[in-house]
Amino acid sequence: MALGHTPDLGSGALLRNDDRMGETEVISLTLPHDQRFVSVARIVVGGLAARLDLPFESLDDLQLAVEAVLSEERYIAADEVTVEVAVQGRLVRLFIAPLQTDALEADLERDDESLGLRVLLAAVVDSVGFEGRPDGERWLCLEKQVPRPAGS
Amino acid sequence: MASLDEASTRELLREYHERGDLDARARLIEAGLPLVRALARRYAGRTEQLEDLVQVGAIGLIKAIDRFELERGVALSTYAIPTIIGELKRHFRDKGWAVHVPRRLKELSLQLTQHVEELSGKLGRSPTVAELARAANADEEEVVEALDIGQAYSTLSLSEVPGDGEELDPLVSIGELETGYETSEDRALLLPGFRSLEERERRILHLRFFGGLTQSQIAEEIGISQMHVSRLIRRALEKMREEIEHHEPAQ
Repeated sequence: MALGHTPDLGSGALLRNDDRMGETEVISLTLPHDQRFVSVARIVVGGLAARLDLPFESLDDLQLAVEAVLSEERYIAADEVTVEVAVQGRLVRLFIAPLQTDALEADLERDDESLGLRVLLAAVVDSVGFEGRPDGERWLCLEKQVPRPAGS
Repeated sequence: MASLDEASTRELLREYHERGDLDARARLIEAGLPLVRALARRYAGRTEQLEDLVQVGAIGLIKAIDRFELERGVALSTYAIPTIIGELKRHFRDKGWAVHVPRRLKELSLQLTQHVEELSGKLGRSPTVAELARAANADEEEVVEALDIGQAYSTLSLSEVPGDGEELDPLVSIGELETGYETSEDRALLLPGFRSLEERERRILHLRFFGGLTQSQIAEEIGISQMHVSRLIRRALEKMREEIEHHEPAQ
């Protein structure tokens, strides 16, 4: 994605419907809000991504995206944080909650030159948004469309 | 050393070695700690806290001060740097992999670096986990875990060859004002966090996040492996986070 990409902060249809063909598989992982468990989230995301036959670089991008959010203490709103990985066709969606959405949105909307969350996520995922759930929780949603490896 | 000029350092060394002045020794240790911290920072990662490594490096500094021979006529820092680095390397060799990582995964992690390079060249793209698993004769789950372990142990050898093909000389690189990006129009590189990075780390982050290059493209540009680029990116981001937290605790 290009420099200056502004993440899509809407909810709902961030990608076209034809990107979402196929049954959705969701893995949910709840971890203590502790930096020592960030690597666990990385491994789970990596394991899920491996099922899609992702090239190493795409897998690395997804892990970096999760790590960027979980490593920032002020984004996490509770003693536990849940990471959901939803795989639908060639689309990987990462949901994370509960979060301090005010702090998160402020960083995602920051229009400066720093290598903050906005610039970092813009480089590693296709879209960034929030999804409201029936219980009122707003989940951060990171989407990445993964190419089918040529020749695999 | 950092806060002492050469003459003062030699005088303190003389007071300690010839007159047994322990206060002089303590001042030398104190003056050398910024150097220890700078070296330890290069080895710090998710599994090794910086402060723990500073403690390890400080042992090297003390050894250097205690063993220094005044008549050799070299600067204390010249003698201390390899001693500190040696202590840090010994720490990783003796305790790092052995304590935290099963031997099989450690070996697989090392193998994968080579397989990523070979397969990337053969396939014209970065390999998938399945392809890496086949090449390494391992389970996919093991590959995912080993890749993550490789990230955790992203210690950068101070003697490894950097992108320009020249040996990285710690004496040259530490404490020296780096130019280039400082004169660049891209002011992002002067913001907090970036300033704590080495020149090569800045360049890699710039290429990845502001230049839009992929890891493979950066690897080609810099002349290192793709996995090394991946590790350097992660390590540089960690350093930035740490630096920003250190300097802006209120935010």
